[in-house]
Amino acid sequence: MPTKNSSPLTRKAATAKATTTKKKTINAKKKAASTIKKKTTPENVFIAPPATARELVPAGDTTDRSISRSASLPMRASEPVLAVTPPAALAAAEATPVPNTQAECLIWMGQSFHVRVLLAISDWAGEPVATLTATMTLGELAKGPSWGAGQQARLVNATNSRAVFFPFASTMLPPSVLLPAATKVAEWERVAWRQQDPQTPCFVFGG
Amino acid sequence: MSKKCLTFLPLIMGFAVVFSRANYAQSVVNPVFNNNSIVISIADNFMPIDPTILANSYLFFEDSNFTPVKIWADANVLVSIGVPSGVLLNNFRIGKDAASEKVNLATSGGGVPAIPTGKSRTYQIILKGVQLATDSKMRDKQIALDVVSPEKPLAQLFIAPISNIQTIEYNRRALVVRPLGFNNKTLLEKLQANPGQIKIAYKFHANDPAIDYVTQATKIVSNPKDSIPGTTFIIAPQRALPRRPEKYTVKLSFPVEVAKDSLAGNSTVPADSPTFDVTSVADLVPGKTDRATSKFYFETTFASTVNATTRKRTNVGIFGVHLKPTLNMLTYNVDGEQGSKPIWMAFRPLLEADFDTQSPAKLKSPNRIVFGMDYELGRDANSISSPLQQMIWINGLRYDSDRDFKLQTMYWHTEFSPRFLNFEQTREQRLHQFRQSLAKLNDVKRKEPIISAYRVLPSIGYELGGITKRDKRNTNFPTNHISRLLVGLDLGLEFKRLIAFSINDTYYFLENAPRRRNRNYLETRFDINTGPLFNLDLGGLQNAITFKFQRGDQPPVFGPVNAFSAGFKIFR
Repeated sequence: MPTKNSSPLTRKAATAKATTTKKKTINAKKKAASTIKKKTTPENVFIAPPATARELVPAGDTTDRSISRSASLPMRASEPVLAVTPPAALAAAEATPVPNTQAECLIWMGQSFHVRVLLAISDWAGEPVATLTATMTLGELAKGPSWGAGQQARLVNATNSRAVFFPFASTMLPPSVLLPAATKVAEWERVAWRQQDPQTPCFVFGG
Repeated sequence: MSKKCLTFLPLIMGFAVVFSRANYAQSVVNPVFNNNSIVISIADNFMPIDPTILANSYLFFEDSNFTPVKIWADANVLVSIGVPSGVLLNNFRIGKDAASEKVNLATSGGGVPAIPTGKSRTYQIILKGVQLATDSKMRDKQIALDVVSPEKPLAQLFIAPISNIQTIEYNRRALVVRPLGFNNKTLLEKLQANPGQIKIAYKFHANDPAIDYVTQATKIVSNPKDSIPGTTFIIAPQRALPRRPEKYTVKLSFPVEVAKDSLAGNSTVPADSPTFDVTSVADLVPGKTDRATSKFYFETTFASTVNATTRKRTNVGIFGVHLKPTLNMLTYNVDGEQGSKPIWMAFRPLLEADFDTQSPAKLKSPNRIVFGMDYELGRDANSISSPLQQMIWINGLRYDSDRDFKLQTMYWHTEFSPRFLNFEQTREQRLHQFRQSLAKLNDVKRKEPIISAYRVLPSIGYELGGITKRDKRNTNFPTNHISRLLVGLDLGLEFKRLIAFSINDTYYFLENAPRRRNRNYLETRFDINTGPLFNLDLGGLQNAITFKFQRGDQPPVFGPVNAFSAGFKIFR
């Protein structure tokens, strides 16, 4: 900042520097504001990635960096479990034929539905998906308030946010009773399956 | 998605003919054969594995000489949405070398013969180096997989899993089935023409004392919940699927001609069977307290009494009929039709008759006939560990008279009946719990708990009404109105499914009676179950030798009752 005791030249230079700094700050603020605005624009809202047959890739094939990685490497606890699918890929995925035969349904259940439910539980519990096992209970995974109607509703929301029945448009109906805290992760998967609405053609093969 | 992936994935998701014996979520690993690839989904998550060890995985089958034929494959870990979710086996060949002659598991190649038409072959997959989260170390997994001939595939019918999930009940009045290889519309029309041709056979576990039986369908409709209408059907069995302590099989069958006339494409049906059959496993463990169950008993007993003054012996026949059925048409959610909904209700007709063969002037045994209609409204607890498991509120209109219809009354009956945790356990619940406690000892065969059932059922109620016809002979009923409070307690204890003791006591407070306002009526029983003597399914009916003692004042006349009798009882 220019001071009264500094020379006019120094003062002018200091004023110019201060103006530049101020402009930079304003620009940075505008940029930040623009970023925030951009992030909240509907078309840029985070989309849970669809798991389709096209996303089922052998780990050795690393050409699609967004979704595949070597499973031979240990999964880190802090590793993000979400993978953003670009709109083009989403559109391509939507064109995927829906599972219909028993084999297709079983593969879809094991590779898409199962993983999506795990991701939903991971979202809800704030735990990395790699740490979730089928025998963990919802009571032990619930963070904040203990397991209750509120937590169950949040888990249903998380499950539906993950579009677990993709490529089907079905959603999970919330159970009208409170499941016990001892409900296991695998049982929640069965509950989600049982509560599908409308029922997918794969309904009879799972649950 | 890369081009490489796009060319590769149709292999997985093609429309090849497949059949997998594995059932999703029943096992940790779940193999599916599809278009000469095997996808093994892993339901639980698994630990990181070394691809070099996984590459040593192989499969084999036994040829006609029972010689194992080894087949090698490329094995890769599948990753779905960034999560390792299974293993893919493909590029089957006769040798470990990638250049070896290729094999198609369904057809032929590399000296492996094709699967004969209509037959299947079991491949044993040896998966190397997979460590599941539940494993302490990496170990080989052997997984069986049936592959059927792609020529003229068999038409199939699949039944949706029949099981409760925690507190969410299975609708025991419905079987959801999906036909594959059929023209669904034709099949539905043919079955709808005569639903009775669909037979439903229940075969119970060897450790379950229940007797196998066959029933039939009463209705078959297209599932209204289908996302694609007409994909699945709902079959309504004549009786609700039973709750049993062990898993049991449900076999659906209908005439093979119906199946033959409804085939689609080049599908076939087994030629050597008169019926088209499909079997599934039901896992309907009786976890919660029973909802409105049909009650029925008919008993005829004999009493011999000596008159204290005349010393004259009198032989008396005492009859009892209690009938309170649960009619499907008049119930809501009693058999879990609404899945997770805890409210249920039932309109239930009621007939109770207790009377003897003596003259009313000198009888000292029961003298009552009740007709009525009850509306039961129940609510289950949210949790299976809640102290109050069920609340039942009964409201009904009842007509109550003596044996000869001399005194006739009509009143509104209201009753609240709480079901407390572990205050009641049916035979099935007791047996299931007992077997579970023994499961670790691997010593469950045919063992039963000493106390095979018990109940402690309190209730409180009120009756309000009036006399519609007065018995001029009877002076024991001085008022024209009925206003009485009643408190009931029903206790029962059964040993080894053979001997049962029960006490049923009802206390009445007659609000408008000028004297003796407090009355009480007690019935005690000792039953010896004779069911094991006749190992037959009598539509769920059982039989017993019964000894009973009745004492107190019984409505509507509140005449004194004091009788001990012995006889035979048929009950449900």
